[in-house]
Amino acid sequence: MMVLEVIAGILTALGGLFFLTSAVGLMRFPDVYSRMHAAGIADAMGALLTTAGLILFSFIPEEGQQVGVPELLLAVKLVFILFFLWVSGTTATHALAKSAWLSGLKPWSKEDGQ
Amino acid sequence: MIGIVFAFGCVLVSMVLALLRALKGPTLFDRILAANVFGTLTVFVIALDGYISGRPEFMDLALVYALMNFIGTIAVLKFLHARSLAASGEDEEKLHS
Repeated sequence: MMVLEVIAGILTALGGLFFLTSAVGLMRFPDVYSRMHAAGIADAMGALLTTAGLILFSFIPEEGQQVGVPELLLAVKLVFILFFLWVSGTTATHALAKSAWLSGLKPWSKEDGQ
Repeated sequence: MIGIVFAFGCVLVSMVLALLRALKGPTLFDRILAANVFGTLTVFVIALDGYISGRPEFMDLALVYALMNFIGTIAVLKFLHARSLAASGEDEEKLHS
Protein backbone atom coordinates (compact mmCIF):
# COMPACT_ATOMS: atom_id res chain seq x y z
CA MET A 1 0.00 0.00 0.00
CA MET A 2 2.62 2.47 -1.06
CA VAL A 3 0.23 5.26 -2.01
CA LEU A 4 -1.48 5.16 1.37
CA GLU A 5 1.85 5.27 3.15
CA VAL A 6 3.06 8.23 1.11
CA ILE A 7 -0.16 10.19 1.69
CA ALA A 8 -0.08 9.42 5.40
CA GLY A 9 3.55 10.47 5.63
CA ILE A 10 2.86 13.75 3.86
CA LEU A 11 -0.14 14.48 6.11
CA THR A 12 1.80 13.78 9.28
CA ALA A 13 4.76 15.86 8.16
CA LEU A 14 2.45 18.77 7.32
CA GLY A 15 0.91 18.46 10.76
CA GLY A 16 4.34 18.68 12.29
CA LEU A 17 5.04 21.81 10.27
CA PHE A 18 1.86 23.40 11.57
CA PHE A 19 2.97 22.67 15.13
CA LEU A 20 6.25 24.38 14.37
CA THR A 21 4.40 27.38 12.90
CA SER A 22 2.27 27.65 16.00
CA ALA A 23 5.29 27.54 18.31
CA VAL A 24 7.16 30.17 16.29
CA GLY A 25 4.05 32.37 16.45
CA LEU A 26 3.87 31.79 20.19
CA MET A 27 7.40 33.16 20.50
CA ARG A 28 7.10 36.11 18.16
CA PHE A 29 3.69 37.67 18.68
CA PRO A 30 3.65 40.78 20.86
CA ASP A 31 0.72 40.13 23.18
CA VAL A 32 -1.11 37.40 25.08
CA TYR A 33 -4.25 37.69 22.97
CA SER A 34 -2.40 37.30 19.68
CA ARG A 35 -0.38 34.44 21.12
CA MET A 36 -3.66 32.66 21.80
CA HIS A 37 -4.42 32.86 18.10
CA ALA A 38 -1.07 31.25 17.36
CA ALA A 39 -1.67 28.54 19.94
CA GLY A 40 -5.02 27.76 18.35
CA ILE A 41 -3.23 26.83 15.14
CA ALA A 42 -1.62 23.90 16.93
CA ASP A 43 -4.96 22.71 18.24
CA ALA A 44 -6.88 23.11 15.00
CA MET A 45 -4.60 22.42 12.06
CA GLY A 46 -1.67 20.61 13.63
CA ALA A 47 -3.88 18.17 15.51
CA LEU A 48 -6.14 17.59 12.51
CA LEU A 49 -3.41 16.83 9.98
CA THR A 50 -1.31 14.73 12.34
CA THR A 51 -4.30 12.69 13.47
CA ALA A 52 -5.47 12.20 9.89
CA GLY A 53 -2.01 10.97 8.94
CA LEU A 54 -1.88 8.61 11.92
CA ILE A 55 -5.33 7.22 11.11
CA LEU A 56 -4.18 6.47 7.56
CA PHE A 57 -1.03 4.86 8.98
CA SER A 58 -3.13 2.60 11.17
CA PHE A 59 -4.98 1.31 8.14
CA ILE A 60 -1.76 0.05 6.51
CA PRO A 61 -1.69 -3.74 6.93
CA GLU A 62 1.44 -5.33 8.28
CA GLU A 63 3.05 -8.14 6.30
CA GLY A 64 0.46 -10.68 5.38
CA GLN A 65 -2.18 -9.70 7.95
CA GLN A 66 -5.59 -8.24 7.35
CA VAL A 67 -6.76 -4.90 8.62
CA GLY A 68 -9.19 -5.86 11.35
CA VAL A 69 -10.91 -4.63 14.44
CA PRO A 70 -7.76 -3.60 16.41
CA GLU A 71 -6.78 -1.14 13.72
CA LEU A 72 -10.33 0.21 13.58
CA LEU A 73 -10.28 0.66 17.34
CA LEU A 74 -7.01 2.57 17.04
CA ALA A 75 -8.54 4.89 14.47
CA VAL A 76 -11.57 5.45 16.70
CA LYS A 77 -9.31 6.34 19.64
CA LEU A 78 -7.46 8.83 17.47
CA VAL A 79 -10.75 10.41 16.43
CA PHE A 80 -11.71 10.71 20.12
CA ILE A 81 -8.40 12.40 20.88
CA LEU A 82 -8.92 14.83 18.02
CA PHE A 83 -12.46 15.78 19.00
CA PHE A 84 -11.50 16.21 22.61
CA LEU A 85 -8.53 18.39 21.72
CA TRP A 86 -10.77 20.57 19.54
CA VAL A 87 -13.41 21.07 22.20
CA SER A 88 -10.99 21.51 25.07
CA GLY A 89 -8.64 23.78 23.15
CA THR A 90 -11.44 26.14 22.23
CA THR A 91 -12.88 26.18 25.73
CA ALA A 92 -9.52 26.69 27.38
CA THR A 93 -8.68 29.56 25.01
CA HIS A 94 -11.99 31.23 25.80
CA ALA A 95 -11.52 30.76 29.54
CA LEU A 96 -7.97 32.11 29.36
CA ALA A 97 -8.99 35.15 27.29
CA LYS A 98 -11.89 35.92 29.61
CA SER A 99 -9.68 35.57 32.65
CA ALA A 100 -7.03 37.81 31.10
CA TRP A 101 -9.61 40.44 30.17
CA LEU A 102 -11.20 40.42 33.62
CA SER A 103 -7.76 40.90 35.14
CA GLY A 104 -7.49 44.14 33.26
CA LEU A 105 -4.97 43.09 30.62
CA LYS A 106 -5.39 45.32 27.60
CA PRO A 107 -4.53 44.19 24.06
CA TRP A 108 -1.35 45.37 22.39
CA SER A 109 -1.68 48.30 20.05
CA LYS A 110 0.89 49.83 17.79
CA GLU A 111 0.73 53.28 19.34
CA ASP A 112 2.08 51.91 22.60
CA GLY A 113 5.44 51.60 20.89
CA GLN A 114 6.27 48.08 22.08
CA MET B 1 7.64 6.29 8.82
CA ILE B 2 9.81 9.18 7.72
CA GLY B 3 6.81 11.48 8.00
CA ILE B 4 6.17 10.31 11.55
CA VAL B 5 9.78 10.85 12.62
CA PHE B 6 9.81 14.28 10.98
CA ALA B 7 6.59 15.25 12.78
CA PHE B 8 8.08 13.93 16.03
CA GLY B 9 11.10 16.19 15.58
CA CYS B 10 8.88 19.19 14.78
CA VAL B 11 6.80 18.57 17.88
CA LEU B 12 9.93 18.34 20.06
CA VAL B 13 11.26 21.65 18.71
CA SER B 14 7.83 23.20 19.31
CA MET B 15 7.92 21.99 22.89
CA VAL B 16 11.25 23.74 23.43
CA LEU B 17 9.79 26.96 22.00
CA ALA B 18 6.71 26.69 24.20
CA LEU B 19 8.94 26.20 27.24
CA LEU B 20 10.88 29.32 26.27
CA ARG B 21 7.65 31.27 26.21
CA ALA B 22 6.67 29.79 29.56
CA LEU B 23 9.95 30.98 31.04
CA LYS B 24 10.00 34.35 29.36
CA GLY B 25 6.36 35.45 29.09
CA PRO B 26 5.96 38.69 30.95
CA THR B 27 2.45 38.06 32.21
CA LEU B 28 0.95 35.09 34.03
CA PHE B 29 -1.41 34.33 31.16
CA ASP B 30 1.50 33.83 28.76
CA ARG B 31 2.73 31.11 31.06
CA ILE B 32 -0.65 29.43 31.40
CA LEU B 33 -1.07 29.51 27.62
CA ALA B 34 2.40 28.07 27.07
CA ALA B 35 1.71 25.28 29.56
CA ASN B 36 -1.51 24.44 27.74
CA VAL B 37 0.29 24.32 24.39
CA PHE B 38 3.00 22.18 25.97
CA GLY B 39 0.32 19.74 27.12
CA THR B 40 -1.20 19.53 23.67
CA LEU B 41 2.23 18.86 22.19
CA THR B 42 2.82 16.17 24.81
CA VAL B 43 -0.33 14.41 23.60
CA PHE B 44 1.19 14.24 20.15
CA VAL B 45 4.58 13.15 21.41
CA ILE B 46 2.86 10.21 23.09
CA ALA B 47 0.78 9.37 20.01
CA LEU B 48 3.70 9.60 17.56
CA ASP B 49 5.98 7.66 19.88
CA GLY B 50 3.34 4.93 19.99
CA TYR B 51 3.58 4.64 16.24
CA ILE B 52 7.38 4.78 16.15
CA SER B 53 7.85 2.04 18.71
CA GLY B 54 4.96 -0.02 17.39
CA ARG B 55 2.85 0.05 20.56
CA PRO B 56 -0.74 1.07 19.85
CA GLU B 57 -1.55 1.13 23.57
CA PHE B 58 -0.07 4.63 23.73
CA MET B 59 -3.27 6.08 22.24
CA ASP B 60 -4.99 5.48 25.59
CA LEU B 61 -2.24 7.42 27.33
CA ALA B 62 -2.57 10.25 24.83
CA LEU B 63 -6.32 10.46 25.37
CA VAL B 64 -5.92 10.52 29.16
CA TYR B 65 -3.25 13.17 28.95
CA ALA B 66 -5.44 15.35 26.74
CA LEU B 67 -8.14 15.18 29.42
CA MET B 68 -5.73 15.97 32.23
CA ASN B 69 -4.18 18.89 30.39
CA PHE B 70 -7.57 20.50 29.91
CA ILE B 71 -8.59 19.97 33.53
CA GLY B 72 -5.27 21.37 34.71
CA THR B 73 -5.60 24.55 32.68
CA ILE B 74 -9.16 25.17 33.84
CA ALA B 75 -8.20 24.45 37.46
CA VAL B 76 -5.36 26.97 37.36
CA LEU B 77 -7.64 29.61 35.85
CA LYS B 78 -10.35 28.98 38.42
CA PHE B 79 -7.86 29.17 41.26
CA LEU B 80 -6.49 32.41 39.85
CA HIS B 81 -9.93 33.92 39.57
CA ALA B 82 -11.73 32.64 42.63
CA ARG B 83 -8.81 32.24 45.07
CA SER B 84 -10.21 28.84 45.98
CA LEU B 85 -10.88 25.68 44.04
CA ALA B 86 -14.07 25.14 46.06
CA ALA B 87 -15.83 28.34 45.07
CA SER B 88 -19.25 27.63 43.65
CA GLY B 89 -21.09 29.40 40.87
CA GLU B 90 -23.24 31.54 43.14
CA ASP B 91 -20.18 33.50 44.15
CA GLU B 92 -19.86 34.93 40.63
CA GLU B 93 -21.61 38.16 41.65
CA LYS B 94 -19.24 38.77 44.51
CA LEU B 95 -16.20 37.98 42.38
CA HIS B 96 -16.95 40.45 39.65
CA SER B 97 -18.16 43.27 41.85
